[in-house]
Amino acid sequence: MKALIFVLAAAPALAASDGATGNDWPQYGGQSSAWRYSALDQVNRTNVKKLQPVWVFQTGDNVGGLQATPIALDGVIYLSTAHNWVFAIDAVTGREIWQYRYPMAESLTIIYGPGNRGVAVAEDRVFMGTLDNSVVALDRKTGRELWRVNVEDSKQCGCNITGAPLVVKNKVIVGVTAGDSAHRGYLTAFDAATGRLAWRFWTIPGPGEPGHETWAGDSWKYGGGSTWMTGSYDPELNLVYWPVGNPAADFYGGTRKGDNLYTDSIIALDADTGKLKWYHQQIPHDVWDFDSAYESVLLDLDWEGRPRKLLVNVNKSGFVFVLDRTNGEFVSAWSVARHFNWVKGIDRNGELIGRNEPELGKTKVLCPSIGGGRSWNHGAYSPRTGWFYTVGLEWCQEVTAQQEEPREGDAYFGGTFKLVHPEGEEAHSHLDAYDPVTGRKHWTYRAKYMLLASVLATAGDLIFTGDPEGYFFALDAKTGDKLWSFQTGNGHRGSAVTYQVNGRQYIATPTGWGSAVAALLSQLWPEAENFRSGSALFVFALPEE
Amino acid sequence: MLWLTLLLLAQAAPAPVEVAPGAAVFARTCAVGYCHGTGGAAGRAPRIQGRTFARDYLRKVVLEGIPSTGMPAWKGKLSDEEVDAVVAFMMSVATPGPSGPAAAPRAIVAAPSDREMPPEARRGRELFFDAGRIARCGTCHLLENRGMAIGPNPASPPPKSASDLRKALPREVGLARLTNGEQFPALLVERKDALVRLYDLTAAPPVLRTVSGAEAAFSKPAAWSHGQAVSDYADAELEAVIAYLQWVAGP
Repeated sequence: MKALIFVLAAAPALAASDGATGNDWPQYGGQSSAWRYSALDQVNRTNVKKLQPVWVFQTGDNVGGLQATPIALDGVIYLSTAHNWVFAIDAVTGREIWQYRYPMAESLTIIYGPGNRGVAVAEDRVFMGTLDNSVVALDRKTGRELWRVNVEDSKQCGCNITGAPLVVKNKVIVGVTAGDSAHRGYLTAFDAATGRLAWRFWTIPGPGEPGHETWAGDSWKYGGGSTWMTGSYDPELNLVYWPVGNPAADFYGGTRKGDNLYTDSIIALDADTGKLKWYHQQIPHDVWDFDSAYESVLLDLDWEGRPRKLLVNVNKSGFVFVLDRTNGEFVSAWSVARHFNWVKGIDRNGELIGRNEPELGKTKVLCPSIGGGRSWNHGAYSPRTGWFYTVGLEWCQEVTAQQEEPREGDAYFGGTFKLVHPEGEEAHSHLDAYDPVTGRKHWTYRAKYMLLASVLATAGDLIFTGDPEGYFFALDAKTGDKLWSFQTGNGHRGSAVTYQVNGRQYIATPTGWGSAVAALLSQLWPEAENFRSGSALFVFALPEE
Repeated sequence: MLWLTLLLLAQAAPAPVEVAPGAAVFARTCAVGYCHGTGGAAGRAPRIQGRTFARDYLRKVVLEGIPSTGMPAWKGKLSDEEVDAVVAFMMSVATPGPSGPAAAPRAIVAAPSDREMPPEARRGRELFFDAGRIARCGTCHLLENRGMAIGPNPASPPPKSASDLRKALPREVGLARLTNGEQFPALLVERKDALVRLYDLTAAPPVLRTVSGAEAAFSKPAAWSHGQAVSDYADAELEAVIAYLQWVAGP
């Protein structure tokens, strides 16, 4: 079922822009190139079996899962929870330095359920998006609120913010949810010092703008195009890469005929002005809810004999799209999921082959499910192996399209679905090592349930992630062999990081089961309904000599 | 006696409820996306199938939602008949409780405001909440449970003309001067614990700033007018907005 087979392997160029982290984990994706790779190697393949917990931080915000990427900076960890509580924690001892609780209106309907994927820290400030679609800036030393701005009324738009902001120079860039609501998506930048609006990019072009013609009638007003995860940034090109989500209604496209730009696209924006430099649409006129919402990993690799500046993005369908990030040119595509029938494949020009669409009033089995060939939990790239490590999910769904009336801010799915096991085998997931451009697989690690936590790669040639049953574990980056594991007592839905203080390397992982996709597991495995919720940060290190 | 018992039983037994219309309402509203799953099989939202509910509880939750969760209020979005039907459907897939499913009490569902709305007011409401504008009226004003309560209630009393509307100036608006040299038109919210909270009105959306009292001076007059805030709207549009505000204010 592989759509493309390449013979060549991409070689990591020695002059590659360095996406590795060092003592700190300063940004959501490690660095703004989103490698989720650390150059720390004190913990390595030989000694990882001695790894032990050094402290645990219980947040107390136990509903919605702990989905965050902690930020570790100068010996302090900044952690956000599902209901927008923020903690500054001593990275060595686990002592709370300060906490901030966003004052949420009691009457708020929390669209899509609670959840937050992280804060951004820059200079003396901590930034967070909120469940009522606001952005706050906190004093990094005290946690005191400095400014707060409502991006758009969540009662009206049916939208909010769960993704971590991206800070570029003096701007805080935040996305928005509501790709499955009757809403028109956007990306907004605010001045980091004052909170004032800096720029706004509408992901659905308005009347008179190029691309507006890709939406029939009034459908552009309700077309989704959310920006719910965090983008990447290339300082050399001064481009912000933001992944855009699916069009609404998700499963029914009859009222939005056209390609529906810029949904399911990677957009490259000038970081200072928010002006569009290029875009690449992965799925024109999506009717499967296959967002392009996940991370964009920026890699400088030699490809077909010349150095290329590439961008690797995993679409929710499980297809990985590799682009030239200077101009958006398509390079290759390959799938992390084995079970797919929504298309037959993707050709050499990046065009979909053999679309298999949901039908009005008819129930069809489509793979992968709405949960994705992968969920948002991020992959990691190690320059030592040159491989990209990410999860694949094998599950399908019975989907029935229906025509719904768009009501501003209300759910607008255009159908219903029920998860089912793939034909011939039980649903499951796997974490694999791939060549990032060709998708050539080097090893695979199989898991019973869906792996929904991000991957961390380190220079100790270790790959860390956690599973829904509570195990946090380390695999050998070269072979996939499991070298160590620890039962944290709660399922994993967040993103592990590593940092070093006073010469000691720490590995920190959020634990805390929850989220929309996590909740879907009970449709396949009834016992998953009773998977416990929680919210804690576990930190590990080697024993002190 | 037997016939009486039978008659009483017949009266106590629930009237046969048509479930099919409720299944359709459920599919269209409750089963979508990450919510309750096809037929109530569970999703992000709780499972309905096989659980035990009181009918009144389901009705209340459908109408009012559950604050601080993802469950919205359907009052005003579903008709009385649809609410009845969807509750009946949910009871049909749920497990009957110890007392069995009770007959549906015919609760009175509050209808959305059905006071007649002139077309001009309707257009005004659309403009007030125009999602295409960052600086829309709703960015600063709350009406009909939409928008942000930053500025005062604009319908109390409604302005008489576009020129009145442009001149509106809340008492709390002034000029903020910070010791770092920043200076901006501001709406004072509160002074508390040596902190000052004020909205920076320089551009939409307003930014709520918290500064220490020692760092901020607040004075009148304001270098700001409501006319700047509504500069995205043409005169004719403001007239429609006023018609809407007058409709909200009522007779």
